[in-house]
Amino acid sequence: MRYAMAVDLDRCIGCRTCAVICKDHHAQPEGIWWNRVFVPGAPEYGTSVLGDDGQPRMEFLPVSCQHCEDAPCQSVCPTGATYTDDNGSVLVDYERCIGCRYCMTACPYGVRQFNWGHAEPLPGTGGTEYSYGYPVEYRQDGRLVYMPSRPEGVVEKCTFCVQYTSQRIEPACCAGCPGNARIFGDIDDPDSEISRYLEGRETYLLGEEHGTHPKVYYLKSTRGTEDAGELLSSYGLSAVGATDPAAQGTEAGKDGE
Amino acid sequence: MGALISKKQLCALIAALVVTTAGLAAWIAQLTMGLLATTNLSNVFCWGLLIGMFAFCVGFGAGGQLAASYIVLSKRPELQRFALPAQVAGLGGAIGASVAIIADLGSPENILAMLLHLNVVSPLAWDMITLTLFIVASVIGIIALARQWKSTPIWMALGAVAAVALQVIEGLLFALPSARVWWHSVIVPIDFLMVAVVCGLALVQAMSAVSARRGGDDAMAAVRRFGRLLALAIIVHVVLALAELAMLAFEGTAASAATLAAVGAYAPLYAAELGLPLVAAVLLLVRAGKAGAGELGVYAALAIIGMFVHRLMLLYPAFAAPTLFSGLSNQPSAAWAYPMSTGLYASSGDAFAMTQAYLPSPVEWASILLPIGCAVAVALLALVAAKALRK
Amino acid sequence: MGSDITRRTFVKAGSAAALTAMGMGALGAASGIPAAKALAESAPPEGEWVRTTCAPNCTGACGMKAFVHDGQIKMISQAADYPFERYNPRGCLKGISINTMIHGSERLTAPLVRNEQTGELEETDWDTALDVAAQKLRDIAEKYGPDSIGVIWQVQGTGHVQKGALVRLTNMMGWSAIGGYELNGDLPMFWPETFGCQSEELESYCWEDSRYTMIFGSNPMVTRLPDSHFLNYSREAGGKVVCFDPNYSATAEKSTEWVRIKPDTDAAFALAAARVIIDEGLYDQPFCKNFTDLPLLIDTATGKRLLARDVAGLSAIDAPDYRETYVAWDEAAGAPVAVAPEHLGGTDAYALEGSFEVSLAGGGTAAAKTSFSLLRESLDAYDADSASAVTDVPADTIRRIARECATVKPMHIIFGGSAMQWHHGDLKGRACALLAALTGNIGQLGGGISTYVGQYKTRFSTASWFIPPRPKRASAPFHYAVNGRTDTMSATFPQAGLKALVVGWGNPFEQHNVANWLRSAKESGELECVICFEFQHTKTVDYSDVTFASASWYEKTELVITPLHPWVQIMQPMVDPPGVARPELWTCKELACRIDPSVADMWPEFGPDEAEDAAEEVLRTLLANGGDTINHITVEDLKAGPCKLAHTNPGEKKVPFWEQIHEGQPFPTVSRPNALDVTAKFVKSGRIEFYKDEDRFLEMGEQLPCYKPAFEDTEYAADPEAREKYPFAYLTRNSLFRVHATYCNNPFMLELQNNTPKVFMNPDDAAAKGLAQGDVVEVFNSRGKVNGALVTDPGMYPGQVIFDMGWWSRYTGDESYNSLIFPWINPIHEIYYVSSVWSPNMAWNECVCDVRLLEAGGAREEVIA
Repeated sequence: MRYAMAVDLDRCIGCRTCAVICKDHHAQPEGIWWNRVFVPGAPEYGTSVLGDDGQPRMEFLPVSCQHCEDAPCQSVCPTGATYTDDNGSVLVDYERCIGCRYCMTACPYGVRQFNWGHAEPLPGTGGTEYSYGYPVEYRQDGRLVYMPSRPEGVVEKCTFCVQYTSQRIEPACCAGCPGNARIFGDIDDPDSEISRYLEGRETYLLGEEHGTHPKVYYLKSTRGTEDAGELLSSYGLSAVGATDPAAQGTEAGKDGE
Repeated sequence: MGALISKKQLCALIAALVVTTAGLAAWIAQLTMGLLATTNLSNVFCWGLLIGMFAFCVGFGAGGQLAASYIVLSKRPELQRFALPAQVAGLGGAIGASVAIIADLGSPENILAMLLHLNVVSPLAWDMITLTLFIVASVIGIIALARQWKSTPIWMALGAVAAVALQVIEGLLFALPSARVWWHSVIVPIDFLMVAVVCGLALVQAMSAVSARRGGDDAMAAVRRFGRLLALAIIVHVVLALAELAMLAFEGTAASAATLAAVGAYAPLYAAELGLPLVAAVLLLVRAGKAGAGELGVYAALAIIGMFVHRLMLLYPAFAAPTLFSGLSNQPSAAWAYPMSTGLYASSGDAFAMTQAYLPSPVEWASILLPIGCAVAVALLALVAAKALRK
Repeated sequence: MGSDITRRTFVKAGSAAALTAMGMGALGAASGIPAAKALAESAPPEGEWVRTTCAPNCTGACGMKAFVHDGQIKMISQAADYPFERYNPRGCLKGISINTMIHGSERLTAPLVRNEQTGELEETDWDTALDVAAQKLRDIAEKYGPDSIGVIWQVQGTGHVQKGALVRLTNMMGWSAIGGYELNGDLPMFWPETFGCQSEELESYCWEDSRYTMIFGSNPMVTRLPDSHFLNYSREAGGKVVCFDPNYSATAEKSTEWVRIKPDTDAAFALAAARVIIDEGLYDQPFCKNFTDLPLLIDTATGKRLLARDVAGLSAIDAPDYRETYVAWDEAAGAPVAVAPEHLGGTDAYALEGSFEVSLAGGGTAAAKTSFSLLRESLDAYDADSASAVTDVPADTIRRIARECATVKPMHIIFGGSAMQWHHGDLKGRACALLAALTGNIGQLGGGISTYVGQYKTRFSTASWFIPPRPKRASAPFHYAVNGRTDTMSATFPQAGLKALVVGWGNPFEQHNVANWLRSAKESGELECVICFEFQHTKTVDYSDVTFASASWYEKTELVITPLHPWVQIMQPMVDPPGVARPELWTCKELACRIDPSVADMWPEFGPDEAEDAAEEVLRTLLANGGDTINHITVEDLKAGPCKLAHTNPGEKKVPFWEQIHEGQPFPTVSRPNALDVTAKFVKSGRIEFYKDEDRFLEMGEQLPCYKPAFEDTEYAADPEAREKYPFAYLTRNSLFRVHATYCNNPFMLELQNNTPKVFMNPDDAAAKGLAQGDVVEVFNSRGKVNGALVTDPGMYPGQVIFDMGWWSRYTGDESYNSLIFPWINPIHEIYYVSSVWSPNMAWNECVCDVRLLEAGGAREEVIA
């Protein structure tokens, strides 16, 4: 079994809910985001970039750990703190990480983050402090791969929500994507949701030139692929749609479940 | 016993211990106050001055060993008295490197994992093993030289092998992962070797220049001969560096373009890296017959400074250039860099960035005193020990 | 399935586990993994998941579940328990991270009262706070009349019980309810003008049924984030989504086609498209004849509709007073015919076009034409080429889209706030409504026209709670506080002016601070007193004399029903309000009884500890007396999960105007809480009206939808020099990171913006001003100013400066982004007055500005990515 994630760029609306739910559920302190969503080339949310045709585009690209089959972070880790579990998730054992940050230099995706200081809780109500996130540590075969307050001086990153997937719950970002643009499951199982979602569809991988073989698959946007000059009838649509409400519950908007 | 250590050496040792103490204080500050408060590092620029120092020390140490081995194996009588100092410098460098890399760890308390769970495919693991072996070889070399073992040439040869291995593996540490185009090149390990050679030759040059002031024409001849070798080594290093740049320019990817831009942004540093040694090399060749010992020593110093800057420039273009680029998924476009989270928001207000201007903090500058002090102290102690062994 | 993890698994977890402690063991078994193994690896943490409804002032009303541990919320997830599978999950980045604010440092933990001596706010006990507030409000009511106390509250749909308690209090005391719908610029005036009602709209899950969607001035990918995927589903099902926007937006990116249109020219586009549709015979004749006023005869001499009682041989048909019987031309009979105002349909014989001589009852004849003929004449000015010059949309594109939208069905128009919130926004809406009617899409699943702004519409009767037994009701549009009275007004407004403000949860001193009026009125003493209900320390709290520390939506029982989606939901308390903060039901009751002890009998009797039980009782009352759409639902049902409102049409999804188009009922639909007769007079014909014959429409040349350019009747009329002095349009758009001014202090959202407010410009405009990305700039006009880091966006149409709405002024040097804006009044909006249905409306976008450099390169590095 190998867990994998599909990110459908045609569905992604760039809302960053995945990034925020990830941060909230994993007690990521200020300055640490396991999950990011940006429009490459655009300086700010809501701004666009120009394609080679001179037309603006705003393609949202979520990036978190790619859980590479050949993870450079894992091969360079001198202590084996970074390892791949039986499900193919690349994890960090906080008790083995010596904080050399070699993995951070080796990861082409910039997903690995270091605890430069002691993670301060947020200022809370009435002068108290407030901590958020999955409140207890999680060990896999004795290895400490999640804890709500990471020690200073260790590297952390996306775990494919190991504390959830071990309970047969999908990762927070997938469950929490309002656009249903993230699909998770066992890529080795042809009947899994992700396998069925990807079947017959073209995917691409980030940073393929690094030979990392990521397990996060991206589906391309369809923006601009249809000729704006085409009449809708050429899309194979009837000129009259579902005007009979009794015939509701159309096939519209299958979400690939 | 008083003869074991000269007054000068004692003063130097005390100075080294003071420096070490200052560096130790900086390191303790980093450990207790946290790297966030004491360094200017971030997730973007995650390796800083200590790693630069580490790389320099490794090169310097390997260079010292190579010089010592060359002196012994070449059997040039006028050079033999430099063998032990060079060997000692090699050990000092290796010790400095070890101290630097340990001081740079975020969680040194987990260091036991290096022994219990060593990941043998990690270049850093190879590097640590080689560094350990190198230190062992270095120590044996010192003993061999002091006791004037018959097997000394064999140990020197082994030492040279260890030095070459250390430098090549050190180069591979940077060159193997593909994420940073500035490092991911076959030239890097070769050039690392060249850097060690330059360091070693410059070291001997400097030492012989110093002693030549007291020596006669013989000594000056030796110094000059070394000067020409040093000039050659520098030129090879510069050619390798320029070849690297040319390869980068012809790569034509977004990552290589960004790296070139970063090199451009740090052009003064890059100019210093290449220019200082090159000037030294040219002058060494031009003025080989005329230069006095002091002048030659200055050239050697220029070469060593250049090698240190080279180690810093190992870092700047690598971290000032983003690693992840993406264009539009379904139509032709430029490939744009993708921001990463800095880890610094709480202190600086910036949660995301693509590059970061890095200037080491005062604590970081102070922290490199620890490896420097240790290196010098160990080298001095090694000299003393060698003297003791000789007796 | 094997060992796969599916979304369905997680959904089951959401509903079944509603949510016991993680409750995942059984799921492991269900998905083929022995439960014991799953649990062995991770013992669930102590705590529980509780479902509630996220209801800030956005009307998303997303079902959320929060994990409560040690008396605090540690994590939030979407509940994802809507029975309509594709609805899930529902909830955005802001709602997911509200825990950082609920337990954050800016929560109010105790009531605040201003110390009269020092002017400082001081924490106090409830008795003191309530007595001070009661005394102040009683004094002002006695001195100036109770209507001089204005009340601003957030969308009632986001909380009928607790927020409703303030509505009840207001209606008890005779205070002036300041209609939030118009105050916020949310009132789409073309709706009452055209359809006679406040608004009707497709629920978002009908978007997937549309096969052609046109979006004008809306960015649903941001502003309707939890619903927006239904637009993607429409595309996936083969539909086309066309986004009309001057600026390339997230919605433009997710559309099949982006039409770059010059700002505020949507009316010219829609009218040109209408002309193509009519000229090419693509319009739905039966629909126009049966359901619109287009066949009605207009007296060409007066511009008024012919009345049946004035025409020889015709008489008015018996109908309620708010109706009028008009005249059409019966082609079969070749004679005029009285048009029944109370029944639609069966009028295919009406002539849609023609000029007629009609004999009048008083002798003589009148020259008459059908509205449709007059429409065609008026459309002469809107040929595709002329419209292209106005809109900057190629003529061929106009023609093509006209043909597409006329032939592909169902066709739906999303008419958004950014199209509407202009001085002549209603003309644009009428033009777009014309497209929806001409193409016969109204009353069809996935078809018609919708406005998703504000969403004040109430879908059940709230009277049992909102209206006390002896009501004293008053209302006033905020516009007149700033403008003063006008000659053309028909609205009520307190004689003494607004002397006090009671604020329920909104943050008007940021969000409604138009032209700095609120702040300066409070500072000058014109506004003598401000009382506010809040759960966090906002700018409005700073300006308030008394602040009642309130409960958030994770701390109280509340009923949430917002019109965009059909689910009735409740909030459930899962953590205690901090300190002595209390739910508003208790506070309102106490305040009422202290102002006027004689109203005590109109409130339930309960102590602060019993507030949740009392709220549940109110909830029961509301459900039981809410009418047909809701009275099938019980509190117990709601505790188990979301329940759906009832509707009359067959099928799962509600179809707006089903009764009108399929059952012959006249327009309008009811605009609650008003009775039908209050608003029916807006469309006296009982039909969809495109020809308006009230005098002021005729005077202003707006009897038919037309295009009027921006700023001419407002900024340039007020100051002719503004044309040169302020060359940019100032747009304060909605941000992904806030709901208006809420969430501004959310630490996660601040991180996502690198803590920096930004000003957006087209790069060419910026270059022409000598500005570069990363400069700190000031945007200003004669009324106010705001600053931010400049970001250039090549997707922006030139001539605009954009500032993201909602930044608290503490992030912009205490300058409010709303200080530049002025609440212009369009006299058309003063013809009638029904609060929140026909009233002056905020035209946020009707604002000009200029921009200047404050500090070159002063912005943080990251802004200059």
